[in-house]
Amino acid sequence: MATVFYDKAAVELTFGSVTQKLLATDCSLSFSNSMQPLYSIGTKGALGQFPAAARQGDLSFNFLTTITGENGGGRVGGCGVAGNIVNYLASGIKNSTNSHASGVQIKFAGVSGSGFLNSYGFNVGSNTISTSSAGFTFFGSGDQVAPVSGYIAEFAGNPAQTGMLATGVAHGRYTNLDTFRTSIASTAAERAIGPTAQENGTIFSADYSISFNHVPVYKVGQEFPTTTFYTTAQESLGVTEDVFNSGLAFDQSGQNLTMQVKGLNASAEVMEVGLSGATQVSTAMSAGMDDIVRTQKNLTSVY
Amino acid sequence: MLYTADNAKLKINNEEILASNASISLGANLSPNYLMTQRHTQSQVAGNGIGGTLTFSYYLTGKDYFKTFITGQGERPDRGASELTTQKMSGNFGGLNFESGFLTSYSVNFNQNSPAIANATVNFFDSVRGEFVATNAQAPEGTEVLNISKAVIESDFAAGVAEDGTSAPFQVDNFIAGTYNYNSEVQPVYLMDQTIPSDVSFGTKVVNMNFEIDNPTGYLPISGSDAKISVNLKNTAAQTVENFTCSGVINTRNLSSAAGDYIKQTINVTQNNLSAGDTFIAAIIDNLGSSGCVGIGTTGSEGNI
Repeated sequence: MATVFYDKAAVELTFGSVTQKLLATDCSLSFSNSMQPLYSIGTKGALGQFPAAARQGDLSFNFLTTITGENGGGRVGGCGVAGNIVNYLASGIKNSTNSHASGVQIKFAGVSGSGFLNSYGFNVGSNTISTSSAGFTFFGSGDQVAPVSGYIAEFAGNPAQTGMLATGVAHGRYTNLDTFRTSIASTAAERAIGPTAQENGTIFSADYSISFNHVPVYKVGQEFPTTTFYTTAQESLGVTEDVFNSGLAFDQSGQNLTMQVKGLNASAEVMEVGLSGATQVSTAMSAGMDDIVRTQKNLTSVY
Repeated sequence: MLYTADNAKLKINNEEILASNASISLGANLSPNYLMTQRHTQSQVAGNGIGGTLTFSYYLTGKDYFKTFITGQGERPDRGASELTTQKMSGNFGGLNFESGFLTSYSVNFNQNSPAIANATVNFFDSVRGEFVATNAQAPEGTEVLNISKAVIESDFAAGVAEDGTSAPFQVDNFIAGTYNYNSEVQPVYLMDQTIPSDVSFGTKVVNMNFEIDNPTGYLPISGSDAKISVNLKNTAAQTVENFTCSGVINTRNLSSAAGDYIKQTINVTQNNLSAGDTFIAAIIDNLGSSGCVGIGTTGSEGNI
């Protein structure tokens, strides 16, 4: 039995010809079948436990939002902008017009499988390091490929170049989210009466997330799906600022927005996340002891 | 007194059924009897004999006993009452029993990676006798419930005709899910002064198989398209233990899709000829146990007469 310490349990993704080790701070992998008890009338107890669905695996991990550097970030494949492979993958899937999905190879502490990205998110806050999270589902495929294979073994991947990473992790210091702030135009009459609402909000933090829907198609006589489709995606950006938009419209219009996430080197490349047709769907405000009144708005985009 | 599902065994022809659920209903055919000028009446009279249905679902664990009724029930009318006796089903549900039941519908679902479950409906034209008697028994051990993940499908489809008039093979690569359905008409025949039928009349029987398949096409000639789908259910030892075949014509195609889902095409194959296979003489055994000649005569050089 292998006893593996965390420093030898790297998380590595391979998509096409690109392999990248993520700077994961934790990772969990689960693999389950669907054995269900069957009961018959007239008897006490179960007839036994029998499978009712295919085996399936799930893997999720949190990682530092790396955007530049040789390891854990940088340009991915032929991608024009910097970012990590998960962001690259999410961007590719949500803008894809191809319904047939192919998973990416994920390796964690010697155990690997073909995973389909089901969720991805990151946060950006003032003066804090950005962290990301990702979740993958393993369906397996065909009549041979099981969702998960391998055993626990030391796997460190390529050594991290910490010096290059220092400026490659997304940080709130130089990340400007002004394009996402709420702006309220007050009228001259309102201004003449007295103090007015602040016209432009100040953004304190933002939480981005996107979820993907995949539909595995199973057929008679085979456990694992014969194919897997990508259908829809929905992304959400929660912005914390200091302007409450009481003018939230019933039929709010959407707009295309691009979030640029930067590291500590202001002149280095940025990781971009585009929100297509982002529509504000909610606004809220709250206050706590020893704090200012903060507002939260939520933007959603669908694909 | 209330009981749980554990306390009521289901038996058909004295064979215990591993049913996941069962329901028995009994009804009298009553109708109000109005006189002219009346809008209200206290009188309700019987218009037909008493009868009921037993509906149950059960797990397929091997060769299915009920499937023999599909090809056998009502196929030997020349035997008269004796044949009818052999085709009757007796049922017992927790001690409540009936004697003259007939299989009127039967279906098996082929859902991916799921246990094979059959659904049956037995109509009976009699009253339910007996009293409910609770039983206490342990579930049998070592039961193997067949799973659709081990099914093997064989198919044969007639070629279609392409737009340019050339032959276009009908190719199916994936059978996603389906059902096997059987329905039979069984009508009771009553004699005067009797409330229990003296005979039953077997009507038409039909088997159809619905299957969701890939490779969407809209080809469907007016005469239908010949098709045969055969589902072999295998056990964990990879031995085929049960088979469901429908050999008939495709009479329906359905193509559908919904947002967030893939395009689903289903076909319906209907088979109306369900008589058992033709009887033939395999061999004639002589008094020495050897396979002899057919006909009268000797095995000498003169040959058979």
